[in-house]
Amino acid sequence: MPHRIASLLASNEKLLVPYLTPEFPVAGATVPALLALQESGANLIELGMPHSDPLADGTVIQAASQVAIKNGASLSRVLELVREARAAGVGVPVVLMGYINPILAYGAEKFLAEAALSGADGLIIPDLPPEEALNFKARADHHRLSMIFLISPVSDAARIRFIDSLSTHFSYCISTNGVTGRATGGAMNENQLAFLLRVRANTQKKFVVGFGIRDAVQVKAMLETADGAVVGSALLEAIEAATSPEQTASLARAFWRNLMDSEASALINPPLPIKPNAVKFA
Amino acid sequence: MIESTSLLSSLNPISPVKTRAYAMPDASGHFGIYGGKFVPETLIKNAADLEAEYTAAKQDRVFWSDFYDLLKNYVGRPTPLTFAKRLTTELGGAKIYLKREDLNHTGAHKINNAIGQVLLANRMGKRRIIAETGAGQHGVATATVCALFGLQCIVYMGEEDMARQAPNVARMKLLGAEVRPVGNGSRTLKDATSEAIRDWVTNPDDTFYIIGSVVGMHPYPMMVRDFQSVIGRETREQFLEAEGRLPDVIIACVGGGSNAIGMFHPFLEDVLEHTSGETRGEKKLRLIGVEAAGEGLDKRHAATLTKGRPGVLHGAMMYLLQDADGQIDLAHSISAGLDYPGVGPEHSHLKDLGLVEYTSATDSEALHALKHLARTEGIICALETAHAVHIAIQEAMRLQGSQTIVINVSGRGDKDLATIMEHIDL
Repeated sequence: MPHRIASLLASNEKLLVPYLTPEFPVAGATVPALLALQESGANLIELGMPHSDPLADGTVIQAASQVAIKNGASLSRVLELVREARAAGVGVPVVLMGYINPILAYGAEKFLAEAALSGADGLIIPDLPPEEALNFKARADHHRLSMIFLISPVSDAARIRFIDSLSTHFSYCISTNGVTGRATGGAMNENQLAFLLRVRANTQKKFVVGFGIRDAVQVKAMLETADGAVVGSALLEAIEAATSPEQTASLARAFWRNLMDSEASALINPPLPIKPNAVKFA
Repeated sequence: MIESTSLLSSLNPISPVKTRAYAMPDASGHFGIYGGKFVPETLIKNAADLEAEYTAAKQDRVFWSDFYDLLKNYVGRPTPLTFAKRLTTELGGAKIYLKREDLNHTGAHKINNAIGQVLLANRMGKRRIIAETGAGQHGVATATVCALFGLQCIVYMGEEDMARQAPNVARMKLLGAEVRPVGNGSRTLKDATSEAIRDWVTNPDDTFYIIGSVVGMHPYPMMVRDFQSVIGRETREQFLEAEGRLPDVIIACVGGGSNAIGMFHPFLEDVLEHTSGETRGEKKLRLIGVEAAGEGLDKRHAATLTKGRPGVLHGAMMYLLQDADGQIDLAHSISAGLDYPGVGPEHSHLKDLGLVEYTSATDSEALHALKHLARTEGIICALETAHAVHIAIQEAMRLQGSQTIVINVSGRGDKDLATIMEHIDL
């Protein structure tokens, strides 16, 4: 069976990637929210594995992670949620994003095996840089889990080429130095553009860009150079007031449609694989 | 690689170093399975730049002469090794010596490391300094060296620690530092450290992060250890002069573990030698690290090496207090400086190797020991140090009068007066 991520990349679609903290803001919200995001145009979803001490995340994801942990979103629960999402019809690639300590506590090999079985397609682990990841990557390869390594604005050309060679299908560029959710001001500044062009010049695989991307204007700007864009903190802010799973799904749908229903969608070629709500979206 | 010890200035002549049986970390920054660089990609370059700069500085005589000049003429080193005569007589056991890090400028061992790192920051041309602090001693030390070098200083400190260490907050501000309260998570050292790392990720170009303990990503645990090792080297020399031999037991408190590693590291070769076959039968030098047992090991505590499991926090693999899901537990200690759910990777490795014994003392044991030392020796030590004093008192009573103990008095207790007075009837 072809890898879900490989198939998506082969289609040459731009990647429109929401980051969702599971079981946020309420328990039971994960699967309805994932379905709503898929229906409204997300073609790859980054699902968090909440950690008490998320070093690369800003205040929004920190706070959401605390809520999620209180709502029972342990690593084993997140893997169950992926399985439930697959059963409920989530067909887009799902990439798990989280920190290495919960994975070590769970057992790295056990985690990789069960993540693959549950239907997850890849992993982003921001505190597992290539220096510490070589054995882990070999085991992830064995389980056909795509490893997505990060490229930072301070990475030089050699480092970018190194990371590009290690990432299984695509890499993840941090748009600007800092943690997630920081408003960067403006669609894209010159430094960011220069950085993304430098990444393009030094990569053979595709790359998405994330951190601080909050609205359609920014998404559009990033997609002119990058192969995809990730929006996380702004989505979590949009759903944080929900008091039920249904409301979470509806707020997530409204947020993502608004993001897609803009000039950004004009860039997406071929059109998004819209599922049930295609008519309304078009 | 040239060891910093062989480049020492005349201030601290040391006995010749024999073959080094203990050489850690390895080239990738690991102490056995511990340590490493578990950091976001943005910090990989900073860690590499810092490592390159430190490697160059290590071989630079000017760097070390600047370092030792400041330690001598600004910090006031060497600190004395004081024979605790009344405490020894009262306990009727082993002779107790006190290594007086409390007499350093700013009142604790933290300044040794802050001096070393600010010299590196200067070499690298970084003008914005950030630090985390628990008890405030490292924050004060960093604010002090920033004032001395005219650098901008931002200190992250948990809100709970700001409340219980108010005098140190005032000192930092007086020295011109900005103290940024950290209100999330534990509201103590753990989250102050996370915030400092987040700051560094955000400002990697102009900022130097002065970490206060032997924690964090490589090269920090090695570098902080090297700067703090002046404690153990002085002690070794002073003790040999006083007693003509090495001590039997050396005791230090362990939070992140910088005063302990600074004291222990210059004695590790001695421990290995005593452990090896050639000197079988001789008394073995024992190194004891004392963690905070808080309210008790079955309640809230900070005894990471005693009760934790290996994991990753703040860029390194180390023993960690964590739950079954790998979420970091909140530590608890009456002393802000020990209130940390991790511990240095080298301590983690030394525990597994069995080269250092690790034990713990509770909040109330520490308070009693603090009062005891104050009334027998006229020294009000820090609450952190008091944990080591408690174990030293226990050990002294079990040992013979011919045997000797050194306690590393890591800091003075003025900062803790408010906490002490809540718990001790004067």
